[in-house]
Amino acid sequence: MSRVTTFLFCLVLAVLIPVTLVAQSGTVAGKVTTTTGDPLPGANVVVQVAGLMLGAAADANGNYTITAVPAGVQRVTARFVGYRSDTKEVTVAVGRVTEVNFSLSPTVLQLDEVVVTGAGAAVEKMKLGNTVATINSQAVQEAPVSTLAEILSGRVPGVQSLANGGLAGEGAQIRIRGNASLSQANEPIVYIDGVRVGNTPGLAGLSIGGGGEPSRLDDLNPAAIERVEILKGAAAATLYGTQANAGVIQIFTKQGAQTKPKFNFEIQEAALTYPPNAYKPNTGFARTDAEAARLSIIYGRTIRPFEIIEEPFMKEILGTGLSQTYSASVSGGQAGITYFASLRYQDTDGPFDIRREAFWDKPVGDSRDRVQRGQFSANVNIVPSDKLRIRLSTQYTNSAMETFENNNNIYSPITSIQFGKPERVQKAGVGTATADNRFGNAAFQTAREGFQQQTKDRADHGNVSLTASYNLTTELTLEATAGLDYISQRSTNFSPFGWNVDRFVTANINGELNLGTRQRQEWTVDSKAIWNTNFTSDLGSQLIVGIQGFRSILNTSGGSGVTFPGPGIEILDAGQTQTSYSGFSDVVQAGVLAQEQLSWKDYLFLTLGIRLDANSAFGSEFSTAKYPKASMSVLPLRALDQSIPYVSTLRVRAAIGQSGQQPGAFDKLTTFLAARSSDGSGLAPGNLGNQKLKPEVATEWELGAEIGLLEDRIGLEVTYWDRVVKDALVPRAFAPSGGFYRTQLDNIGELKAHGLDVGINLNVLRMDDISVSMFANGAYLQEKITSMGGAPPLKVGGSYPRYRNFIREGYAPGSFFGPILYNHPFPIDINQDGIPDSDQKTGTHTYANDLLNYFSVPRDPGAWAASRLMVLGADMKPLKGGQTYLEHYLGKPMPDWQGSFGFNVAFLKNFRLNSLFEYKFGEYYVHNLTDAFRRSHGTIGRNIRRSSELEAIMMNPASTPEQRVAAAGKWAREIASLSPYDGLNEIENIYLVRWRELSLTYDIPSEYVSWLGVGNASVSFAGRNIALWTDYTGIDPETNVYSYGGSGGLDQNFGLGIEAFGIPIPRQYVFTLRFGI
Amino acid sequence: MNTLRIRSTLLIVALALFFAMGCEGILDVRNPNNVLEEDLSNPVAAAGLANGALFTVSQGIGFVLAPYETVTDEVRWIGSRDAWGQLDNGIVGDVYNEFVDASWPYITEGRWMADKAVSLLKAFDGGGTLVNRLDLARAYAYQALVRTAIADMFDDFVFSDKTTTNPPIGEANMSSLYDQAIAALDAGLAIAQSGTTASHQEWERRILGLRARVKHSKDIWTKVNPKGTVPTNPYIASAGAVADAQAALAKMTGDYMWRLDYFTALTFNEFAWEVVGRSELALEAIPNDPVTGTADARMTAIANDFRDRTKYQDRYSPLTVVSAREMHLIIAESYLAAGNAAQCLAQLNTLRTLTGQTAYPLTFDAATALKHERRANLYLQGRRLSDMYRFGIQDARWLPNAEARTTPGSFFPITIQERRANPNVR
Repeated sequence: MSRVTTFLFCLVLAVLIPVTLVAQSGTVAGKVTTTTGDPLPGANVVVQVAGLMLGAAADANGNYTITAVPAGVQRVTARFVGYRSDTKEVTVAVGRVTEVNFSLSPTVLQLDEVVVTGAGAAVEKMKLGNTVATINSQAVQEAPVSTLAEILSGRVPGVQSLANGGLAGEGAQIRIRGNASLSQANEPIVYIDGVRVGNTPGLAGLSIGGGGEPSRLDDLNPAAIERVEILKGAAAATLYGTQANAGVIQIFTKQGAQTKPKFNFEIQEAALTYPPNAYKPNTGFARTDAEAARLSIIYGRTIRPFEIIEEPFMKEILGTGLSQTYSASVSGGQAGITYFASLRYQDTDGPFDIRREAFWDKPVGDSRDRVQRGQFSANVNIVPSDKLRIRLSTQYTNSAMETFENNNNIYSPITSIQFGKPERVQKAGVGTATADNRFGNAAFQTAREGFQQQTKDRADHGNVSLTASYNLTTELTLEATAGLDYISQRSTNFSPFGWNVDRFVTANINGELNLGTRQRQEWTVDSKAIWNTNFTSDLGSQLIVGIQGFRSILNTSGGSGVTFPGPGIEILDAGQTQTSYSGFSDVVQAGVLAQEQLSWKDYLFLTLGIRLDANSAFGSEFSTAKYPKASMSVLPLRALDQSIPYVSTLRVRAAIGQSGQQPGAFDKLTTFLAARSSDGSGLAPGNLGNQKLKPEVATEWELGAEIGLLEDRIGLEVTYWDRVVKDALVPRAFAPSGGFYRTQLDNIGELKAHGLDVGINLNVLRMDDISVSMFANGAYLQEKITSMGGAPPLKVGGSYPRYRNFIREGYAPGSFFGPILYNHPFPIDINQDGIPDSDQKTGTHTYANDLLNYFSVPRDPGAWAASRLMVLGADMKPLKGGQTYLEHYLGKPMPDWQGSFGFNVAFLKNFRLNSLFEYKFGEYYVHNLTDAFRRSHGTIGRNIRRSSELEAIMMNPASTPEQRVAAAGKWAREIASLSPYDGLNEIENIYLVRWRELSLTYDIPSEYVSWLGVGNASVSFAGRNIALWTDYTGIDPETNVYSYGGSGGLDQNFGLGIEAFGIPIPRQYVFTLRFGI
Repeated sequence: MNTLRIRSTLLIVALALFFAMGCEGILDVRNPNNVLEEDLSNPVAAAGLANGALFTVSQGIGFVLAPYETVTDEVRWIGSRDAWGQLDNGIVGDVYNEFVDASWPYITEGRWMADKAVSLLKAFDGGGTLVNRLDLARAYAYQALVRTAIADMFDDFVFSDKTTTNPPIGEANMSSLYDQAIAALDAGLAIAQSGTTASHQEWERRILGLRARVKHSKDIWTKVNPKGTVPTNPYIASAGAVADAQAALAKMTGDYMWRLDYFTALTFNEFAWEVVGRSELALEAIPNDPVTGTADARMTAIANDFRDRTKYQDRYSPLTVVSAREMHLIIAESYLAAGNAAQCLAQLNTLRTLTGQTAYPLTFDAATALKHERRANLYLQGRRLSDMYRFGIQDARWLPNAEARTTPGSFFPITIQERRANPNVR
């Protein structure tokens, strides 16, 4: 039997083992209201029958019905977000309806909330010693969010959604409690209904500058999400074993209730714009009378030499993007079966508006900034007996995305416009120009040529899961989940034949097509037995034993075709030169888990667990990883039967646990790569190999408390956590002279981190006509690489010196390093004697005079600023002009503090106003590489006002030497950047506050819409990313040159806080109509 | 209850055992993407090893040639990445220079792979399992070629093996790379001369020509080292180089060249990409031919060929490593070094005839002629900087205090990647 067949057999068997039939049951029905008698539509009512949970959601009138409830004494619990749960014990009679009504009181703490992720089985939060954050769909249903990353953004302390850029369809990275690995993915693993999602981010085999890359997590249909559970680290995620270091996110999809079919529709129209002042205008000046005369003709106004010309070039291509979303869902069910299905279509065309008019009515290319997604989600719950419950769930998304080359990429048309200098603008027929150069590009391409390039991505993403739960006895339940997440993706990057429409670009002008495909299968099989028992009336036990297996298969292939025979052709084999590639990887992880949870009465809970893992990626000298955990939760007021004035709830908790992160599939092997030579195929050094590879292990402990005050009107949640990653996998750079220049993973590092997650929720006001609640949360983070095992520092971006993030012992991962300018009015040393030329005197002759002499004639800053500045050496003493030292610590990209605050207001019965702000501050640095280029670069920059002004002074023959020297001093202190002083004047300590969300919703009274057959309807007006307050001087501090995909590995993880011609996060204004029938 | 617990426990254990047994072997995944190191000891890998050496050496030379040429007066910087500007300004010793640093791992990989290929192929040969001995001859030639390129372009070098690092060999010992190259070529030549097939003859031509070049380069190195001064007598008279050049010429026909073919291999020639594709660099204006007074037609032809997109697209331009022209130049220079200007000029005129140029008048200054002919015929081959140093030629773009101007003989340093990872380099 092949391994694949064996695996499938195991999987099917694991699912089918629990299946048997039986049954005798009744029905539980009733109404859920607030303490003031208002119905609570959407409230969940569940009957917990040992490991089996039966449930239903309350309808618009608060009514619910649960069928197939086993006869006998049962505990029925009603829960709703923002309210305390209530549990009642009832006797269910065979074939009868037992009425159970609930009246729930409000609370800002959710300790009764049932969670599953990381707990092994459904359990109330109060029983867990670790934090499990939850986001319920009710909390975001009116918010302007359309992706999982947007749902996560700002809602949970310690969970960051890093947007990277504002191109349509661009995926966000997710970080939970910083970075838990120096080499492996720091993205949490994601599950949908128990099945792991294969998130292979980015374009398939292509890179277009780092940005604009999709995240496959954005394929998830937000309309189908019922609840998101988040485990923040090893203390909570132990049962997920290897790969869980960076946290776990589990998504639960909506389910139907036992009602007649209910249809819900949502129509959303949105407008998108980029902040108008994100891009600085392009500036420059004419050097000569002739140039001024030529420019006067082009600009239609008088241009004089050395007067600053300012042109807002970027505004020529900025417009208003549009987005439409249509979604429909149906849910319902009857005794024994419920269902939910959702269809959603979204089409977003980004704000860039590439029109002929912007290019003097010349035809523009076909590149676009657009994403379309068609999404389908469905699930069915079958309860064939009172002991068996089966759930089949599926998701499917077809996405199509088009985007631009972008960011720090000379072939990005958007970047090209920012390279432009007004004095270099050429118009055919003016002067000697025979072709247009609309935005004055001096190198590489014109923007119009850049817009000829097209990048497209098509993906099919499916996920199916089958879960069976069988109550073998009243105490023992067997559960099994099996499923597959499947991604098929095809990305292309196409430059058409003759794309040098302005006769400027020189690269592959006869066309080029690059194509990449990948197919990923992520198999999950998960089976466990849950044994609930009470040893005594006070001592309860839940024992969980399970097995879990994952198999990840990735097939990649692609190629390129260059130089086509003519226009209109777009296939690989039309290229004069063709390349191809293919690859395959297969990673298998298998684990066993066991957990015992003891509960003493209703106030003391102790959990012990262990996970054992084997993995195909481990070296031959390593077999099984062991990850233990322990946690405790205590409700002292209950335990002591005491009360504290104003304190309504108090819980303290502690947890410690381990989880791991595995190396790549083939990292253990010493390999040689296929290398094509003119004499035939050959072999070149590939991977150094390391048979001692094992998983890196994170040990995390956390200590926290929840405090409810004033009858839970105020809720405070505090968690301190501490994490140590030992045997950290370091991508060790060995000396290239050894023949293998690629880094090799080695378990030699240690990474420490600690932090504080704080959240506060306040029910400020709760009256009949108005209620006001406020919230704030914050996460403090400190990280430090305490050991690199003797390995040298690692630099993001390889030998590209402009990216200054490093992995260096003693510092936070991704910290910036670079030069420090000598603190002097004129840190200029033309004569290279190590003394500023304005200082030293010899006899009657002063070097100040020499500086004046040097600037007695016009000087291009490039002639001295790139080679005669004085920076500090390792000993903090100034070096001679021309020498450089780039190893000074300049800050870190992950902020000390990040979090959010906001409010929710309900007023006039039918109105709701919600708002969310996000902030980051503390030691928080962003590398403003955009302005570094635009300030100082002689060819593609010096086109923002300050640098043009100083440059004009230095180059104007009419300037005095004193004026030039003064300008040179300012240039050195404010403007000079880039090589050989990479990082100088570039890295900014900043803060930011972003008004992330605002929504106003109006529930249309049913009498206004019932004549249409509509049961309920609402309209919302919302804004997203409405405003930004920051002292950052570049485009947008939230953009990052490495998007979600990029080059992966070190760059993906720690290429943080690099803004290099990034696309700002767009503002969105959203109108939504929802109605149900 | 006890029965129930026992039953439950048994079920759980059975389930786990079944999973463990049924899924046995599932962790043994395949890696069909690469060749494992142990498979290199199989003699059927011989050709692949030699080809791998060619690939890595070609790639390495292409990478280091880009910054090297930028320092010279053959190429100038026109793009956005200012580290090219540093090189263009004659700043050659910056260990952080991103392009020198980027070239370091490729040239060191080429060195290592060539040595690995020679080592394994020698073992196959010794064991009688090497099917085609020319594979070993090829590997020797690549081993020599990469050493010559390193010695021509770097001030110092390190020989390490995988994770075992060594200290630099020292600037004073860089000429030993030429010696090692000559020894490798001696061994390769013996194999090439052991057969009579066309392939054997071609490799004999190549190796003889390369050995002439290496011997001549070693003497140039001696002229410009220790660095810091322009030699008073810059001309080379190497009997060994001349003998090899004459022997090679005897086997070469017409305007013979051995060129590294990047196009067929689709091996990225970084130098070509930066000039033709990305346009960071541009070829300098072609100097005038001393006889015609117009741009040298040979250099124009070389430049046009190098930039010919229809033949090489934007990144596959070939690189000449051995040529009949160079053999003539070596012979001509030896006459000049011996004080025989007439013979030097005669040899150069033979070369000019070969390349379709009008001969120098007999009264023409032989030294001037030699300098120009070397510049014209070795154009874009990574030789210019040594000639500029030894002939006292300075690029107008070199800054006043740049090493290239102040310290002739300065080549590239061991770069920051190596310094960070190799504790023996400081």
